[in-house]
Formats: sequence, C-alpha cells, structure tokens
Amino acid sequence: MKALDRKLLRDWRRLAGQAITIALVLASGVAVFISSLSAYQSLVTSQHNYYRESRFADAFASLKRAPLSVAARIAEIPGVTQVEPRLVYDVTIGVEGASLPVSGRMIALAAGDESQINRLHIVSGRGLDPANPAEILVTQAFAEANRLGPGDTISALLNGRRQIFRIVGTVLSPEYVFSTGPGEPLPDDKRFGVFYVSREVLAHAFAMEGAFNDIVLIAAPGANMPGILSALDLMLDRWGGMVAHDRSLQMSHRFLQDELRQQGTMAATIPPIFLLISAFLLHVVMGRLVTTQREQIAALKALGYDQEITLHFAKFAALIVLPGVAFGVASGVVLGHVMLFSYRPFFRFPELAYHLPVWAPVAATAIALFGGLGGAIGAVRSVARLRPAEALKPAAPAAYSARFSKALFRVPARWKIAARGAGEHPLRTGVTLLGLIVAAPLVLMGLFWTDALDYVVDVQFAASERADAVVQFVDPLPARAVEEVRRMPGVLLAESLRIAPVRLRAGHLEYQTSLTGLSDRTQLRRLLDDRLNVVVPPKQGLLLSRRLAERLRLRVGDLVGLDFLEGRQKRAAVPLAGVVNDLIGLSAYMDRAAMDRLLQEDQTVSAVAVRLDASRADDFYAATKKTPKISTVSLRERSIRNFRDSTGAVVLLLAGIYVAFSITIAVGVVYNNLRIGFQERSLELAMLRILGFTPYEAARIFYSEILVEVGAAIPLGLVAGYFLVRLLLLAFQTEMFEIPPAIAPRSYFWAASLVGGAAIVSAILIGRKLWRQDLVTALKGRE
Amino acid sequence: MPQIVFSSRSLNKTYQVGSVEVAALQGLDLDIYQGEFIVILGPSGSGKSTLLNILGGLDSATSGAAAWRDHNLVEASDEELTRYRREHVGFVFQFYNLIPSLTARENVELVTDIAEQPMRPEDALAKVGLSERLDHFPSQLSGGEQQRVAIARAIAKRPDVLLCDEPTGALDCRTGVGVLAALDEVNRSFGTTTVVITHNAAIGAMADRVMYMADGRIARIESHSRRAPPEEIRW
Repeated sequence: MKALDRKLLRDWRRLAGQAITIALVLASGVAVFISSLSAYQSLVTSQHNYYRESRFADAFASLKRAPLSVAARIAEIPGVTQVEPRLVYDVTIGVEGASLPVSGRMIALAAGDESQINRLHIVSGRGLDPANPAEILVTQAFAEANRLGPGDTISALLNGRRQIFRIVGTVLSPEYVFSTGPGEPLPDDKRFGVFYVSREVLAHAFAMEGAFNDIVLIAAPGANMPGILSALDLMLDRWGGMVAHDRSLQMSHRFLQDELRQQGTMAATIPPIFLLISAFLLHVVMGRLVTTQREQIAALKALGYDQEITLHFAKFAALIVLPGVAFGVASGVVLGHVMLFSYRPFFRFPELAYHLPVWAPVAATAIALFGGLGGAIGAVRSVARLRPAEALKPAAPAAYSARFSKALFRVPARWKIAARGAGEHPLRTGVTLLGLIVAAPLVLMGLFWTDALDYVVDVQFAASERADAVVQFVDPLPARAVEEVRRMPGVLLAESLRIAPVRLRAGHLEYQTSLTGLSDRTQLRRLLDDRLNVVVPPKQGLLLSRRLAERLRLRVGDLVGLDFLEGRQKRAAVPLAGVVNDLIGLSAYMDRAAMDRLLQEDQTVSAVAVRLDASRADDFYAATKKTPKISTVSLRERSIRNFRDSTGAVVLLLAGIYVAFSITIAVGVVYNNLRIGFQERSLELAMLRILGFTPYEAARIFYSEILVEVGAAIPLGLVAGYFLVRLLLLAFQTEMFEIPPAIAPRSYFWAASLVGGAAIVSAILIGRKLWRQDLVTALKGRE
Repeated sequence: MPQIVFSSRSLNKTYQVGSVEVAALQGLDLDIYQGEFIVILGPSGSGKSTLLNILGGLDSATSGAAAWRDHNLVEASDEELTRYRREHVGFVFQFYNLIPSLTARENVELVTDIAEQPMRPEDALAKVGLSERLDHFPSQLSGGEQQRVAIARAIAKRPDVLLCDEPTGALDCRTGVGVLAALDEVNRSFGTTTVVITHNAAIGAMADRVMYMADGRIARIESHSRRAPPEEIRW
C-alpha cells in the first residue's frame, strides 16, 4: 500500500466520528429520496398494471332504463371496442351487529357471463354461481371493515323488500379502489360497500328484465373520447341518461389520482430537497475538512506531489460518500418496501409490486459524489494554488476591518470575537449559518402536516359542517319530510337542505359537482371565507369553492352556466357572486329560495342536516334504517375519522418518515458545523488557555460564537421553513382538498428546540474536547 | 544576592512517540534568579521547548522537581497550572498567535480583563512602541508589529516571568531587533524575569546568562558581566 493511501485510512480513522455522521446525513438524504420515489413509482406501476389487467372502463354512463338493444347500438359508436350494460342500485344494507347505518351499491352484470370490463379480482372465496340468486360478492375493504367473509350473511333492502344474501367471496374492482358513498367526499369502508349479485336478483327486484340502467365501455387506444361521450349522451337522452363521463370524473379513479398525485408531489419535492441539502452539507464539510489539512497539503506539494494530492482527497471524499450512498440506497430500498406495505390498506390493488426506477440510485449517487468530491477538490485546489512555502506557514491572520469597532467599544472581548467572527467572515459564517438554517425547515416540513390536518378538521368539521348527521333521501321530497326527520329520536335540530347534482360551465371549461341551497337561517352548514368569517349566500347568484372558481377561471360577476343533472334537467346562467373557503371538495352554493325558483320547486328537500343528542344517537340510526326513503346518512364523526384514516393517514405516514430523517439530518448538520468550527478555532482556543484562561473561560468564548450563530440561525430557519412550506403547498393543491399552510406554534417550537437541542448536545460533546485540549500539541500543530 | 525564582532538580520528561520513548529532559538541574534575562540556546531536540513548556505550566514533568517560588510545577493540577499561568506567566511565541478578530488593543484587553492588577492596554502597547497602532487588526500589522503586540499582551498583566519561544524566528534581522529591544526594555524597566529560547546564537549577547542545552540537559552556562544592547545584535 502506498504511504498516501495509508494516510487516507488513518485520516479516516482519526475523523471517524465526523466521517460517520456526514455519511449518515448523506445516507438519510439518499434513503428518503430512494424510498419515496420507489414507493411512488411502485404505486403508479401497480395502478397501471391493475387497470390494464382488469380492463378498467374508459367511459361510464348511468340512466333510468333502456332496453338491452340500446347497448348493442352503443357498441357501434366509432372508437368503442366493448360495452357492458349493467344494473346498478344504491341500497340500504343490513349487517348484523352494525349500529351505524350502512349503504351499498349493488351491481349486476347485464349478461350472465363473467364480466369483461372492470374484471373482479377474487381475494377470498369464489365467484358467483349464476344459478344461485342468494349468493353475493363483497368488496374486500367493506368485508374487512365489518369483519365479514365467505359464509357470512347480509341483508339488503331491494326496492322496499328485504332480501338475505350469503357472501361467497371478497373481491377487488378497479372501479372501486376507493369506494365513496353517494354524497360523501371521502371513502368510508365501514359504512359503504360495493356488492355483486347475479343479474336475475336485481332485474327481478327492480323489474328490469331485458333492460339496463348503467353502462361502461372500453374505447380503442387513441379514440376520440369527447366524441364518444357526446354520442353516448345523445343516445341515452331519451332513456333518462345522466351525463356520460370518462375516467377523470369516475370517483374512485379521481380519488386515486389525487392520492397518487399527492404522493408523487411529496416524493418529487421533499426528498430532493433532503438530498440536495445533504449533498450541500457534504460539500461544505468536505471543503472545511480539507482546509484543516492545509499544512499537510503544502508539505506534500513540497515533496513533489501534485495531481496525486487531488486524487488523494477525492478518494478521501469517496471513502465517506460511497459508504453513505450505499447505506442510503440499501435502507431506501428496505424503507420503500415498508412504505409500500403500509400503503396496502389504502391502495387496494391485487398486487403492489415494488419497483425501483434505475435512475433514482444513479441520480442519488451522482448528486452525492458531486457534492462530496466537489467540496473536497475545490478546497484542495485553493490550497494547492499557494506556493508550498507560503502554505507551510500558518495562514495569514484573516483580515478584519474596524467597521464595528465603535459599536462594540464597551462590549466584552468574547462578544467582539463572536460578532466580528460572524460579520467579517461572511463566507465561513454564511456557510455555517446556512448549514444551521436548513435544519429547522427540514423539521418543519415534516411536522407541519399534522397541524395542517388538524386545521382542516377544525375548519371544515367544526366551523363549517356543523351537523352531527346529514340524512339524504333517495329522491327529493316535499317540505314536510323535514318534520318527519325532526320527530326521529335524538334529533335536537333539523334543517332542510336542497342538494342537486349540477354541471357548471364557463366557456369551454366545465365541472360536475353538487349545488347546495342554503337559507340565511341555516345553522348547521355554514360557508366561510378565507378569514373564516361566515358567508351567507346572497339572494342572487352563485357561490363557489375558491379552487373551483379558479379551476373554471371565473371571477366574481362572471356568468356561470348551470345544468341540473336530475329531474327535468333545467339549465340556467347565474352570475358568480363570490367564493368560499372549502378545504375539502369543490362545491357550489346558492340561496335556497333562488334555487327553488330555478328548479320551480317549493321547499323541496333532498337532505336534512341534523343536530343529535349524543346519548340517543343509536336510536336515531336505528330509526333511519327503518325509513326506506332515506338513502344515506353521513355522520360528522365518521367523516372526521375517514379523513384522518384515508388522506390523513397516508400523508402522516410519509410525514413521519420525513420527520425521522429531518431530525437525523438536522442533528448531523448542527454537530458537524460546530465540530468544524471548533477545529478551525482550536489554535485560537489553545492560545487563550495558554494565556491563562480557564477551560470555562475559553469555552465561553467559543460558545459565544456558537450562540451568535445558532441564535441567528434558528429564527432565520423558522422563517425559511414557513416560506418553504408555502412553496411546497403550491405543488400540493389537489382537487379534493387543499392543505393550508397552517403551521402550529408548537411545530415552530419543536423545530427550534430540536436545532437548539442538537446545538447544545454538540456543544457539550465538543466542550469535552475543549476541556481535554492538549496545549503543547495544539501549539506544535502550528509551529 | 537576588532571589531564586525558578529551580529544578533531576527533572525528567519522556514522551511516548508511537512505540518509542523519547527522553526530552534527562535529570535537568537549573536555577533562575529574579529579574534575570536568560537565553537558552541549543539544537532542535535538545529539550529547550520542553523546558519552556514545563516552566510555563503548559506541560508537566515525568519525574524530578521543578518549582516557581513556592509553586510545585510537577505535581500541580490542571486548575493550579491554569491559575499559575494566569497570575504569573507571560508567553511570546514564534508565530504571535494573536486573535485575528481583535484589534491590537483588544488582544491586550483579552488578558487585562482576567488579570488582577494589569497595566492599561494602551500603556503596554506604548511600552513596545505601538501607541500609533492601537486599533489595527493583526492582518493590518507587519510580522514585527504583531510580535510586539504579542509581547504587550504578555506583559500587560505584569507577569513575574516572560517566556519567549523563538520570538524572532519568523522575522528578519531589522524587525527582530525591534522585538528584542521591546523585550529588553520590559526586562529592565519592570524587572520581569525573562527566558528566551532560540536557535539564534547572536541573541545570547543581550542575556545575563546563556544556557546551552544538549540531550535534555544544560551542557554549559555562560555569564555576561555586560549585556549587549539589542541594537548591536546582527544575524
């Protein structure tokens, strides 16, 4: 082994503590990068494979009733390769022991054969026996949430008649990766499930022999989808067709895309920041480590070494970088598997196959090497530029100016050293500060998700949707229906709501959502503006969720096309009167009386918002189950839990990982910065000890500098964190909900404490070195 | 007869360098009197720096006795050595070792802040001829000026003894003479016992006594009845 390589190994051993912490910081950055990206890629790949293998439909339409011959004509629309007419009904489900009202969607295929579109994947049990009408298949999510399996029975209220079914299998469907009940913004697997029965059952119960009320189709690749959809609308119009739509408006797909987009955004924004920051730190730390070897570089140069020196330090950097990257990639892959495994309850694909895109480890290694080698080689160059004789001498005293002298006249010397050290070494201070500053935003980026979710729950469910339950009717009913609900057990307050499915049009943009009619007396559903003030729908015009107005590029005063998608399908044009701050969902609102006028109705009710006496809630649920006119009951408590369990859980899973890594990086960063700071000042500190300063007094000077640096870095870091979070959230707006930049004071507190705590622990560790500093060696090191 | 301030008997210091034991001092006997100007000459490895470090309380001996007045320097704890350095010793090093972020005046203040009866920093700097350069930073001073700041810093606390390790080692002759003049002036006017270790034999001429060291011992002592003024020294 060459002498220079022996030096390499010994240097590494001497600096092992630092080398390992640097490698760990880097490994953390790489691991977050690899795991997030691979988990996300795996999800996308799994979704893609699942859609392809199960032949997920391209277009969807529902209608009142059409003869099966219409389906054959639909199959002839240019671009359509396959159609499947079906029977689909939302029904009330009876599950033994369930106190909450349960609803379900029953699907029967039009032809008796096995489905060719939206193929079911059987998880347990078997498929339906077409000869046995009492058999039923149930989605796995519902089965798990209600602890049901093959052999169990459930009942369903079909067109007013209760029928008992035996579960023969649990299934997955590409159409219901997320199953969201009607009128619910989020999935609730305990209270809503999808069921498959043989065609005869539904045809018989709803008198639909030879007919269908729902159709799905697959289009040829590259087919003209808008053309197909309008042809569908045209054909189904006389059969009571609702508007046909493609995948983009399919609930499960839309929700899945939102979740994936969110995962993708998280994976595409935060991990690269982690990686870049750790590469940057590596750059800085390597540079400073090399600079502390100034005399050795000079000595080597004097001996006639030249390119070998650069190579030597490049190897030194590689010795830190490569194990760090290797460890990071390995733990990233392990963590990626763990993440994918934790996604299982949320993303119900038959298979979640791990997929690591090759470019991810390559990019991570390249960025890390670039940071590490760049820092080391840059520093070697700057030392090597000096003539050996010059470099062998200690560096000339750094230049200071008297800029701050007057201001600091009466200040104790240690603060002068600290202040001038900071003010007059902009580069060193800047680099240290930057290192310390990045720690806090990293922690904030992980912590704030919890705050944001809490804020959403507070605003959406405590301030805005204040009803304990919302009862939805199968069809709109006359005003007296409210009275019936009011008389149900446990009801303290009942307010009528008119909710109607609509399509909003603005120029070529359109969006399908629900329009809710509210009166100025409505207490249980309130609209809020950006400052959380209550907004009452004006007598004229429409209110929209802010994101919906933005999506449709509407400004207050613009006319909005309003197509009702039920009943007589009325059309109108209404001016946009204002926007409201909905955090979940995109909705439209209007004054109740104005809506009645548009629909030519008189106080028709489609839903009732209810405030409940908590002690009698179960009686209330039982009563709703006995009322056939009620299609669904949505409960605020469940909505909150669903929000926390679905989007919340997935977001927090990632956020938790980010917090863990951000802490590693923050601690590594702070320790290394202070450690190198100590190295750079060790001679100065030894000198003070020689002059008769006690270790305590010398430490005070050193700590004063740390205090100045950390004291400046923490507030700057928190400010940077705030802006970074805001910036991050620009990328995070999804259609279903928006994450407000609501960082709670406690998160600032924790981020600051963590950085401060890391500084204190580092200071203590370094302080031990200061106490044990060998003065003779420190002097010899220089002379 | 002046008082003995430093004395050592059978002083030994061995270093462990890798697996080899190096004997830096081997049974060294020494007496230094109050107010003396001593120059210690000797080749590298003769033990000069080790002796200076022990006298200054920066290092402790392996065996034997060494004392400054009634302070036992061999058995002293770290705290006692720190107090000893703080109250009695001033150091001057070859490479000045000023704090770069403090001006000349502030570098001196650093010491006067922790000393019991210090001089005014301005007076200490005047003593070494730097009254005009009080508010200059080390980077704005020449090597000779930086070394004179170091001397001012060393004397400002009115130390009993001034220990100088190659104080002119990094300076040319003319600048070096200026530094020596400052040391001479301090020694004469305050009666500060001064020990200078150097390779430079010419400096010996300004000492009361010159000690020649070899192999960890004092090989020979030369006493001068007349101390040459620094201006006469050339190298």
